Amino acid sequence: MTGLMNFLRNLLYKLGIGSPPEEETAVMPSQVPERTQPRMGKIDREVVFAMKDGYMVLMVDHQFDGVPSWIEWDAERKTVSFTQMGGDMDEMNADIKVEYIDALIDTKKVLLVSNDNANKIVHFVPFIARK
Amino acid sequence: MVVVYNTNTPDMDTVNALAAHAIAQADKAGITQQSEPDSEATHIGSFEFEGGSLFAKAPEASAAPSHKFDGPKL
Repeated sequence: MTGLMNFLRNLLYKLGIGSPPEEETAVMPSQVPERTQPRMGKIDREVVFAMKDGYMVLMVDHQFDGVPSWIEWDAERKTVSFTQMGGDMDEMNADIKVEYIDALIDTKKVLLVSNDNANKIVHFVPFIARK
Repeated sequence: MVVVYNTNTPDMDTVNALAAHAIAQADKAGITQQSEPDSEATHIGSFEFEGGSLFAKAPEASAAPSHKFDGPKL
C-alpha cells in the first residue's frame, strides 16, 4: 500500500499538481543504551572459608553490587573471584592452609555470607577451585 | 564445630555465628548437603547480625611523640 501511495505521489508531482515526494526518513540511531563492559574490581578484603556441619561457608565483609552467580578460587594467586549476574566480577584475597587445599579442590558449592546494608545476605553458589 | 581454612585467624565468635546463621537459612530454604545450586537464582535468605567484624582492624599508627629531642647535652 505504501508503495502505491509513493508511486501516485511521484506521478502527481511529475504532472505538476502534487507536492514533492517525501524524502526517506533518516534512520535514527538506536536509543538502546550502549552495552557496558563487565566491571572487574579488586577488593582488599579477605574471604573466610569455614567448614561447619558439612557445609562450606564463605564469609566476606563486603556488599556486592550484583547477585553472586558463581565463585572461583585460584590457589596459586591466592584470590577468590565472585562473578555476578551481568558479568561483573570482584576479586578478594584468601590464603588457605596447605592441609585444606585438597578439601577445597573437591568443593563444588558453598554458602556465601555477605553484607546487605545493615543485614547479612546468604547465597547458595556453585564453586570452582583451581590449584 | 567450625574449622577455618585460612592462614589468617579471623574472629572465631563472628565466624561461628555467621556460619550458624547461614546454615539455618539453608535449612529454611530446604537446602541439604545433596542440593545443587542454581547459578541463576542463588539468593536463599537474609538475617540481622549485630556481631563484630571478621577480622580485627589493623591498629592505627601511633602519633608522633610530642617530646622534641634536643640532642645531647654538652
